[in-house]
Amino acid sequence: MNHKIIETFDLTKEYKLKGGGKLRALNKINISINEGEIFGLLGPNGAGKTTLVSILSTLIQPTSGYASIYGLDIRKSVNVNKIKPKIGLMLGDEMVYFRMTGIDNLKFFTRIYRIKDSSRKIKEITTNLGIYNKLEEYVSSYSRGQKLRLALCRVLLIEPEILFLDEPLLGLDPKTTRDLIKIILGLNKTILLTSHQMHIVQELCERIAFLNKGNIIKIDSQENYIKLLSEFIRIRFDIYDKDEKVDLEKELKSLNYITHISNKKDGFLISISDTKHYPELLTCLGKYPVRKIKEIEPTLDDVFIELS
Amino acid sequence: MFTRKSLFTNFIQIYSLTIKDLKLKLRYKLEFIIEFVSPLTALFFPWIIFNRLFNLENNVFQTYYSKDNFLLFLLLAYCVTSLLFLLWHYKDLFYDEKTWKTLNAIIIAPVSKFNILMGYLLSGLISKLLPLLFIIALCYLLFPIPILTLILVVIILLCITLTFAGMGFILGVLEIVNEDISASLAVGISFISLISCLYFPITIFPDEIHFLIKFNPLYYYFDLLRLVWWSGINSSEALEYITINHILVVVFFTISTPLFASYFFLRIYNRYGTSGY
Repeated sequence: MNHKIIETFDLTKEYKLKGGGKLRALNKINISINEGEIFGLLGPNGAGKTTLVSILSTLIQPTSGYASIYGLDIRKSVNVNKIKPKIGLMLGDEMVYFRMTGIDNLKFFTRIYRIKDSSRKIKEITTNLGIYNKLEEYVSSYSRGQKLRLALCRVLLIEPEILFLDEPLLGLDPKTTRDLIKIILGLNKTILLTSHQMHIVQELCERIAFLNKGNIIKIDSQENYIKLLSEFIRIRFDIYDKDEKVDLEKELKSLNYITHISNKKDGFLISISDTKHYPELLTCLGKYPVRKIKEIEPTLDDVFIELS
Repeated sequence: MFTRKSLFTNFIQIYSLTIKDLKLKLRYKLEFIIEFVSPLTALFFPWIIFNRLFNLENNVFQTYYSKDNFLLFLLLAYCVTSLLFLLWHYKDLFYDEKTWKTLNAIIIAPVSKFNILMGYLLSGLISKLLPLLFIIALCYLLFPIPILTLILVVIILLCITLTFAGMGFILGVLEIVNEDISASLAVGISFISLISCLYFPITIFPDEIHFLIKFNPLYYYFDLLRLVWWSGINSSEALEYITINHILVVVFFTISTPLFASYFFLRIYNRYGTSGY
């Protein structure tokens, strides 16, 4: 039986806006995360991902509703003190001192968390993450990838049971991204990972929630999303004569089996609900100077676009 | 309850915060050295004024300030001015940590707010310790007093340190939560410092505002500091001016300010979180 470690109940967060008014960053969020699960939170910038992570990691309080970690209500300060040693938070490459060396950063955090045998652990983790040789240098001289690795070292050194990783791989080159994905997959911890990079979440997470404008749009397992993806048929094509592009768009919009139309520079990207509509679609396209018709393999981005 | 283990944990956490802060300070060493010299400049004008006034009339202030002791009081004012930085210390530190985006790492760690207050306090004190010790030694050479009196002076300086730290911590949390409130409060604290009679005796101010000064706890701290040192030289005159209010105010605010500041930090931060990015 799955053991729920993190649960939220109608979790809501509002921010006061300058000049009056309120911004509802989270609207009655209900999620649960099981022990040992990697749970993905996907959404565009401003969806509320960081706000949710900040509440769960006890940095800020919700406006209404509540969340529990190991059954402890995080609104109570007595509980917060019990929860803090069990959680690790990584907000991108933040939370490390750029004006100190890497080793001074790590020593500082192992001391305040009272980590035993810290020298050995620092050597082991930094070697695994490939920054051992950079530790004596000031963090300000690190590349973004190295800063992210150091930030991840900081979180791993404190040996948390739950990891909150907010945009942990943003702005990295493909090789570093691949390396860090391998490391995260090998952690065997309960992880809440947020990203707006769909392919990262797709690779890492067992269950995925789509968050948009503070609302959960859908929560499902990766398998079900893959099933859902197989139902999406995406077709991309160009049109020679730009004057006829407007007419074609009008006609496409009138076809009820087309679920989504995206206007591109030289043509369109459309989604259709079933392959049985191919002949009808091709007849339609045949009336226009269309070229380069190709089927595109759908990704979670497409699901997100469809759902939102 | 405090166990041996929890005391050790608190000690290590305070030590770590202190070392971390000193390392950040020592990244640029010249700034660190300039801080030693700057309080001396604050003494220059009061010294010129007092020198001129006491040459005209020795009992110009109608109080225990005289030609014989004004230099001592100015040197003691230097010690307090060296500690005055604590009022702005946390504000500056929290502002830095907020903009460096490292504050969350401290907030999320299992560290009590009191340990944060103490860790940053020690780092600040260590950075000011050398000039402070130098001036106290100079006072001792120029105006020698019994060792017990000197210990009492050091205790009063510690009381001032804790109170300033508490006040600074309150400003610090407001810097995290709302910089507008923090800036307004900073003006208020500057006013309180101005009417605390650090460089001048109370009699220099018009009689009408004496009652206002006597509402200011800092006045009692500074007055007691001067009077305790002076009691080691001219006890009959000094004891004439020490009142029960001096003792009560200093003891009460020394204990309550840091405790209230820790509580205030916890309540305000939990309620409002970080803002202002």
